[in-house]
Amino acid sequence: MRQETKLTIWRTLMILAALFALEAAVRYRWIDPFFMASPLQALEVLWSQIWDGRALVLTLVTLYEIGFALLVSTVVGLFAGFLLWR
Amino acid sequence: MLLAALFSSPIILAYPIFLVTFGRTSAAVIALSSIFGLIPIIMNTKSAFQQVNPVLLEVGASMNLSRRQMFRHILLPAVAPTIFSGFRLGLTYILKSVLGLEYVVQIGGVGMWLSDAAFRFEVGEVYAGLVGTILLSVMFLYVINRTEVLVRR
Repeated sequence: MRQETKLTIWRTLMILAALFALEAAVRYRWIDPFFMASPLQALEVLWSQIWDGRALVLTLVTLYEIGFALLVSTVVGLFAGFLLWR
Repeated sequence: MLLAALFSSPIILAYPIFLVTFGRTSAAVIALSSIFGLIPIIMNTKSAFQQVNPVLLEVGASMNLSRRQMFRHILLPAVAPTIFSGFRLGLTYILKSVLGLEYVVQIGGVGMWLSDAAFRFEVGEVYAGLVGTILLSVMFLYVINRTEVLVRR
């Protein structure tokens, strides 16, 4: 197996293990569920809110804001950086 | 020097000025966040051009390249890595300031959703919002990385 593939598998396994531990901690009430949602519950809520339409609209608004800001700062930043170098 | 000083200052505290100028709209969020993302991009672009190895340029000149070929085949691949790390830094700052500002001033977006859910003690929704934010940032990073591969080819 290639070194890179091995590394990717290990990383994924570690993330999954951490998520699993969190899920178990909330399920068995080692952490108060009032303060912490389990990963599955979070995904469930996200999924239902997306199809509800509300989260989708809000995410699109944020997406638009991030994209626009990134575009503006990229264009102006590249130009200004180039001018500063000249 | 001045830019580096500006970089370490908490510009986000200037948000009332932007709110007064642009009103409580997305424009205020975009204006403040683009200033945030602008500084690392300018600094990295400048240092990328400064760090180009002069030997590379001399090789290009000895091969009689035109200005355009010089830019496309020598300057662009040489500056791309540093500039793209500036984009990644800028993206981080933009994400932080967009979500923080939405959270603080309750202008429509994921940040508003998060603060709303936190006020109602809906932990599920808070963590759902966090997962959504992570997905957004992963998506933007993917786009930036793909663009870098395209430019460096």
